[in-house]
Amino acid sequence: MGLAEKAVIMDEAAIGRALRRMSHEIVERHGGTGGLWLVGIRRRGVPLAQRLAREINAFEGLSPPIGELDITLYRDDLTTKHDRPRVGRTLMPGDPGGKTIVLVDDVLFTGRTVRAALDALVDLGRPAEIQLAVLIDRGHRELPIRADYVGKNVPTSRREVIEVRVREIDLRDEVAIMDQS
Amino acid sequence: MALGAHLCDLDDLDAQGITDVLDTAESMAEILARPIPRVPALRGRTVMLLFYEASTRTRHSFELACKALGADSLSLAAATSSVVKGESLIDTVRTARALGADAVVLRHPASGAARLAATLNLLPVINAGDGIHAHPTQALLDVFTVRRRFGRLAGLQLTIVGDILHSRVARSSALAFARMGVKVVLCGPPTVVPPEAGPALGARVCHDLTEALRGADVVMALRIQKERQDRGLLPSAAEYRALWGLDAGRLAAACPGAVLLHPGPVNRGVELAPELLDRPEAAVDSQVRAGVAVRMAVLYMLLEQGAGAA
Amino acid sequence: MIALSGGCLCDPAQGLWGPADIYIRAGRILAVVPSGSPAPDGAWQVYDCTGRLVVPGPIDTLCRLSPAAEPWREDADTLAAAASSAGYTSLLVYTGSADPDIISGLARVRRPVRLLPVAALSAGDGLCDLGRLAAAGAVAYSDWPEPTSDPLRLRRGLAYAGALGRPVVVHPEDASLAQGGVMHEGSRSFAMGLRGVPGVAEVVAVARDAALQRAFGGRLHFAAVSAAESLPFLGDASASVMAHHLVLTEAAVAGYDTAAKLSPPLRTEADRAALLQAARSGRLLVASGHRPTPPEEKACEYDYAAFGASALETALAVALESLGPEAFVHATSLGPARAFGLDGGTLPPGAPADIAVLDADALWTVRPEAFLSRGRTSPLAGRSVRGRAVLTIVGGEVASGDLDCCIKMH
Repeated sequence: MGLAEKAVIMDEAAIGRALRRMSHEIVERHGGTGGLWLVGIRRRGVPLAQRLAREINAFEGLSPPIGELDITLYRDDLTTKHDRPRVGRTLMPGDPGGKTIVLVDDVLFTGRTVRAALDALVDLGRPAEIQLAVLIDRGHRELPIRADYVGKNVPTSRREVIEVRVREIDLRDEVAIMDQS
Repeated sequence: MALGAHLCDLDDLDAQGITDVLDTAESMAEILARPIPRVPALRGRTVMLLFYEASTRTRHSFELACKALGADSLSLAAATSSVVKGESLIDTVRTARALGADAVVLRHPASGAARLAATLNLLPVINAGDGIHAHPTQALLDVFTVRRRFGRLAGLQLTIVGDILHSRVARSSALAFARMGVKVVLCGPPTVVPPEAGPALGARVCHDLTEALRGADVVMALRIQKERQDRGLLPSAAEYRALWGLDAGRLAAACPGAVLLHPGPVNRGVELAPELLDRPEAAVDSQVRAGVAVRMAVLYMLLEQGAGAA
Repeated sequence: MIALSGGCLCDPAQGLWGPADIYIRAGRILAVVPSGSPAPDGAWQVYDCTGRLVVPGPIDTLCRLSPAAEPWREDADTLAAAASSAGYTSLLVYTGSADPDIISGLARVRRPVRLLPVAALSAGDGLCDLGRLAAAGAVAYSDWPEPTSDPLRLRRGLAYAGALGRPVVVHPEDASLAQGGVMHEGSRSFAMGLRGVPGVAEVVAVARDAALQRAFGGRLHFAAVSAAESLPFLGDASASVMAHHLVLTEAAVAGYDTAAKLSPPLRTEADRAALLQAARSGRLLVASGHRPTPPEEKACEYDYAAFGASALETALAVALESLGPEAFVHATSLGPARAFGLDGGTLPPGAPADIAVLDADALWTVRPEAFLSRGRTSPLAGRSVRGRAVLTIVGGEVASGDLDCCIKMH
């Protein structure tokens, strides 16, 4: 089964604009950056969290602490996958107890990744609040999960695949929609 | 090669395969450092701990690893089961599978026993020590401990002192370290460090302790067992201590700050002077902690990531 | 009255090697003539052996037969059927028995192979009733597969058996040096964590036993040697090597393969090459070393597994392919006959008509599950070997054979 690229739906500039808007929404909703953590879900959520933090720093002069969350050991869909994902490290800036944590991921699809991330996060402590920021929401939820901050809503069919590419990992910034061929 | 469907020995694990396990173990060590050291990665899985030889350390280490991954462990100690009634190893492994076990951790007095259990291909087999052949998770935790201390492995020198002939730990560790680019020197009484040990394990044999320790970044002392003396392979404890016992003075021949490993349990005052264990160079406690992380990594990789057995 | 026509006869004792017609009457050789010569008078049932190798009947010098009758163990019938199908006409069967009734019972078996019982040499600290056993039909004495550890007992055995005109067969292994080893001692045994039997455990036993024989006389045969360094010390004794040792090394033990757990152990490539050379030169005989085991004694941990393999149905093929026809006849027929003072090994007029007809080119795959022997483990399993028996004649009668495949009757 191969993947054929159908269209690029966001370029570098569009991604930048979306992240900038989301960073404003986050700070506005939170009323500042105090007690706010941005926690990226490995792998592509991590550079996105770093960029949100940079955007916030640009207008607040303060960067919220950043965490990295590996959810491999919490996933419930591994046995249906053929790849062997490497178990990554989870790095937190401290005890998440009492903090407001914005989980950051690239794509929100079935909600299972977020469910695993919530489990992983609560195992580390008891945050005051957990919110969710995603660059793309493509629908087809299988769990009662919604995003608090969305870069772009993209209606898709189940056959399609959304690929978010970030410079830090993929050497360029863009979002493409792929079709299983 | 990477970790396959079983972990019987280190023969099939190349440097990259070992590195994969160590990297995964680092993530596991992070979990163990949490207030609640538990993840649901293997929830609903059952690991059968099949111990035909007494072992508290290794068994407890595997039990903790199972617990931290959310797996259930079931211990079948030789003295309390049909093992004593003469049920064959093959039948016992079949029974374990029939009882719903998803993996078997096997400790057995016969070399090659894990390989035999693995040939059935009923479920993943993890060797927790077979005869005097191999103890791969112990070797991996030794490598893990040393990598953490030095941040690297290639170019280091490891000197193993003791009864190499009867030590599955020495065999597996020598192979694992050599594969990672560590120079390995084997030292001990000639009766238990025969010349063929060198080519067999990719190591240098040297019977003089001071010479063997020269340049060592890591020193591993092996447990000396009384029954070897009874069989005439080793002279008295006093003779051993005089020629191959490690103390602060002897250890000065090694590199400054050389790490001291011991698979435990230690015979204080025979292979190691008691004061050595209290020095910061002694990594015995780190080894024990690393053991749980490494065993978590192996269990997870075989049960969740591996192609797995049929 | 049967005739074997057109086969290539290899009978080194008579200097014969070439197409020949063999005429057999009353169980004995009547005549051997160049192929195509006129037949002697009479009505002959002719077997066309064109393209086949015809050899004096092979005699196995080392083959275990446990007197304990259990359904899964080899018995005399399954043993004989397996041997005959493989081309053997006589077997020295090592019973470990000192019971003259058992010995005489076995000695009566003439078909499909001749069983030549080897009786126990010693019981406890003393010798068995060697004279009564000789009268019952024992052709030799041996405690194989146990090593003969006490030199004084061997001295007495050699003297006593020598006076009876029978050899003593020993398993040359110093038990103290062997220290319960389960494979060849070397870097491989070290790496595998298995206790090794050093080659020198055999060398010192060979040297000692050969010295005893030189000093005190008698006839000595080494059941099976495995180490190259043993060869210079054989002295006046005869010796066999197991066919497995001609083609396999300790590498066969890899993966803890219990099928390759043999005694003496498979050793190094240098040992194998030296043994093969000695067999080609005629210094060593080639035996099967057949020692069948029940399956559960192999389907277990290597340390706990029984020694031995089912070898009767592969040994001749291995020997023929390894040695070539002339050395093969020497190693498996003429040599054994001479070493044990038996009829056979050559086919002059008047000799018992024990003959094997072989297809030296037949390539086949060893499948132990298809063995006629009840022993179903072989370190050669899955390997291709060349050469198989198509017709076995014992005492002038067809003992076994694949008549469809090779024989045209007139």
